Amino acid sequence: MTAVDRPGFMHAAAMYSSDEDFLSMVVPFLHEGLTAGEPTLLEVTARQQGLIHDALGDAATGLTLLNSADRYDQPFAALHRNHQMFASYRDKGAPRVRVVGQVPHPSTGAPWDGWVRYEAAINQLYAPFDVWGLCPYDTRSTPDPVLADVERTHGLLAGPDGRHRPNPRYTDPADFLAARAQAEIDPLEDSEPAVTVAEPTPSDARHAVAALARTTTLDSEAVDNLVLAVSEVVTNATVHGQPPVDLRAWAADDRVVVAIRDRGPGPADPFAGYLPRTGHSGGLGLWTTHQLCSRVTLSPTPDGFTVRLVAGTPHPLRSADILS
Amino acid sequence: VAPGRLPKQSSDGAERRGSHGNVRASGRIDAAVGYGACDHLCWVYDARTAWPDAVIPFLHDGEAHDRLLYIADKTESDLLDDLEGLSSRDRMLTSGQLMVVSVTQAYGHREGFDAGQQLATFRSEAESAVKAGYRSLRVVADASSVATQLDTYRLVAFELLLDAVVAQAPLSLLCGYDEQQIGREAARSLCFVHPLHHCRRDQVIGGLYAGDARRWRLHGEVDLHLREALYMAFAALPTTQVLHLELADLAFIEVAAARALVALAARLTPVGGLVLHHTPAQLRWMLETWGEHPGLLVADS
Repeated sequence: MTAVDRPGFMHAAAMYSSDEDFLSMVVPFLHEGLTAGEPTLLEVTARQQGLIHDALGDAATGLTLLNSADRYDQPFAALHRNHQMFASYRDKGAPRVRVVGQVPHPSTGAPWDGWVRYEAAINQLYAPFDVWGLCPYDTRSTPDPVLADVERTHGLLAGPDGRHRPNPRYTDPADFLAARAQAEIDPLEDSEPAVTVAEPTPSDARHAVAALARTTTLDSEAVDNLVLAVSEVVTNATVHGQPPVDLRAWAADDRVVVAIRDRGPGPADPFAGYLPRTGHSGGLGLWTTHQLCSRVTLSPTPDGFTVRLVAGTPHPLRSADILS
Repeated sequence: VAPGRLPKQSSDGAERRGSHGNVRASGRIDAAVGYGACDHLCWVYDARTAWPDAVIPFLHDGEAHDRLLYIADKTESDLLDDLEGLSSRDRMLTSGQLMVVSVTQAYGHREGFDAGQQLATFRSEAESAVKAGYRSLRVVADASSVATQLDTYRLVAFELLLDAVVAQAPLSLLCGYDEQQIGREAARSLCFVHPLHHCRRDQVIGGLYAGDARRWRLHGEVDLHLREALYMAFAALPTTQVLHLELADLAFIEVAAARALVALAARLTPVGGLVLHHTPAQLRWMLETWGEHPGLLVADS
């Protein structure tokens, strides 16, 4: 069914514009997995489940249904949970796992910011697993910028014949994320910071950012989450980075942007913080940080390493051209 | 819980406990004034914060009702000189209300330091004071020389056990430590395990001490600055039974410290685990996000 069939993680997008399209891309994929005795997992809407069950008939009983309410609540939590699930299948000696999973995006009511990172990072982070993932996107409702990101983050594209072909627009995930972080620098950063703290202790940083965040419309939970994230990032910069550390923060009515810079090279792993690394000092803190903010970017720069945190509503990309 | 909100400072006298049930005074203090039974103070002194500045007001508060005991690594003559500022020093010495003893007399030689015996002595001396008609026993101990002889971990373990005694006994205790002798890190670790502490040159804004209802209380803001102190205190906690930790006054906890809670719970699993009370929402979220934690129970209250 595919032009590319190799061990490891295969990540395909099914961009459909009708139920017929959807079924022509998804059903053969699932059927092939069930026939081969592969664990075949499904996470789509209830209506789509019904369509698939009708198409597969009795074979549909072999599907493993995943509960999207639990699984896709937060991108970095989902990334970890799926990672654990695939590791578990591998450890049990399962053959290749197939999964059809709908990733949240704005037309399903979720901010895309974290999920686009999920879609890019899993290409690298699920590489150890023999997993074939198919992500359906409805082109009728999915915004164009999201579809453009989908093209850049999936190595395979499903055709109307159900075949998966290599995607020429696929971009190396580390490059994609680096370019995106650059394009996402908030225009607020063009102005003088509302708060600047040189060589902050975590406590200094928490108090300064909390005071600034309370001047915005952010609710107390968002403020508390940002404060913990800031504390963790300043702690990491102090422990793992190189001095001097500095903190700058900006506020608009609907968001707070915090940039914390140290003068070191930053973590060697461009996906640091995407998964918990419990054996590493700071590994769990950065993963937790990713779940606390609307946007987290890690950017090596000529003069050091900057982590940017956004609480509230992140500003859209400054220039989509950067990613073209 | 709002990270960044400091625990109520005790120096304003607002967070007081009575003899039963109320929360003990805790936090940073600027003066050793206004404290009594069940209070346990750590006073780190240096060249600018003279030790007698704490000793005299603390003992003065007890002149009317308490038996007073002063312990330091000094000769009797020097001990008495330290107390010159007490106007009724000589009268109290004559009546037996005031006693001065050297560290060697009080704690024995370093080879023979027996924490269990010391705790029993403090408890029995406090009871004796009450039997003799005093309200409580008020002790000032400059333990700097003990700190230089014992490793910090053993002293932290002793201070935690001692705090559990002070919390329940008609006893107040002011512990003095000379920062120059014991060093900044040891001073921080020792401040951390006293409900009340003063350290002019260090911002210790959290700690662990004995609370009511057999609960330990973790309070304040626990971050990188206090991480090593927390690790040491957790390592030193007694682990012979289920441990209850009250978190109502915990204003902030970093991820690494929260992980230390998880590790403590795992260590306590054989005796029934660790129970958290009044867990702040953010800590609760972290624990839930990280998954299963053997031995850890987050109670509803």
